[in-house]
Amino acid sequence: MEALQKLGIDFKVLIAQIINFGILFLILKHYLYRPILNALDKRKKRIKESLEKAAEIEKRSAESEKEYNNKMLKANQEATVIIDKARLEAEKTRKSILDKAEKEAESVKIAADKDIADKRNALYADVKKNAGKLAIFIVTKVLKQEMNEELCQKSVDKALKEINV
Amino acid sequence: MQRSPKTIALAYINHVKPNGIEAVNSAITELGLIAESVRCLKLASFFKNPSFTFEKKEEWIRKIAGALKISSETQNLAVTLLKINQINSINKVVTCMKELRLEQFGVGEGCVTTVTPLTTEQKDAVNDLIKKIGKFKEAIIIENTNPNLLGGIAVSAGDRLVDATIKRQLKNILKLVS
Repeated sequence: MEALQKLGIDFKVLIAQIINFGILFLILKHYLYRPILNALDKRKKRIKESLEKAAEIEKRSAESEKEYNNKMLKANQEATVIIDKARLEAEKTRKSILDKAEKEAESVKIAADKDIADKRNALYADVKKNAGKLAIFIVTKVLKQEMNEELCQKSVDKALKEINV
Repeated sequence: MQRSPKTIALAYINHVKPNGIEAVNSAITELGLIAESVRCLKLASFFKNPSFTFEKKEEWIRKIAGALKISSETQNLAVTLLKINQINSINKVVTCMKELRLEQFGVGEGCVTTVTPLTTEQKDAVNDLIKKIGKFKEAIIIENTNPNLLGGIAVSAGDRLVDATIKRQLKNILKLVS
């Protein structure tokens, strides 16, 4: 006690201060510390919920991404199939058009060949006929000039012999 | 009374037959000449025209026949045809007479065409040929000339034609080459 007094500490004041501190502590605990803790708890809880939500969102997002990726993959596959099909169809159409065009070209060629052949044959026949006619015309002219009575009589005799044979 | 050309022809053939085939031939030739003159002078419409008297038409027939030196018997036949309004059928009568001559005497006509007239030997050969192709007992040759034939001979008898002319031969060649 004396020692405390030598140090300048009044025991009664000390006790009063301890009591004051205790009362202050109780008041603070009741009116300040508890609401702060509650608020901290709430905040902690809210943060936890937010984190959970974030995790959930992240999970959902991952799922969505996965789904999206799957869908994209599927879409890509479908698109590839469609493109392949379209390409095949286009190829088929191209081939068909080419075949048709080739056939048409062939038929046009055949018709043209036939036309040319017909015209050539007609021309050939015409030339042949006219050449024949010309030859006959010349022979007739020459015979008319060269024929005399003696030759005529001979031709009659010859014809009569041939008829009787 | 309307008589067919065949009836008229038969009646006339029977009328001249006792005088022999020569008389029949002569009648056919003479009637043929009158028919040809009627055709050439385009007298068919004149003979058909009722405004001309029969006497006028007969006068014309006689004139033509006289100019052709046709016998009076054939002239009378032509006048008879005129009387029975058959003068324009004179050609048909001639044809029927030819058919009857062929039936009764086996004499047929053949037509021969050459560039120049036939020689006697050629005529004989043609006569045989006509008999052969027309299947006639006797043949009468009707000669024609045509310089366009160029040479050779064309003979027709009945419904057959033998064309051995140079013109025909040239045509055959032309047919072959064209």
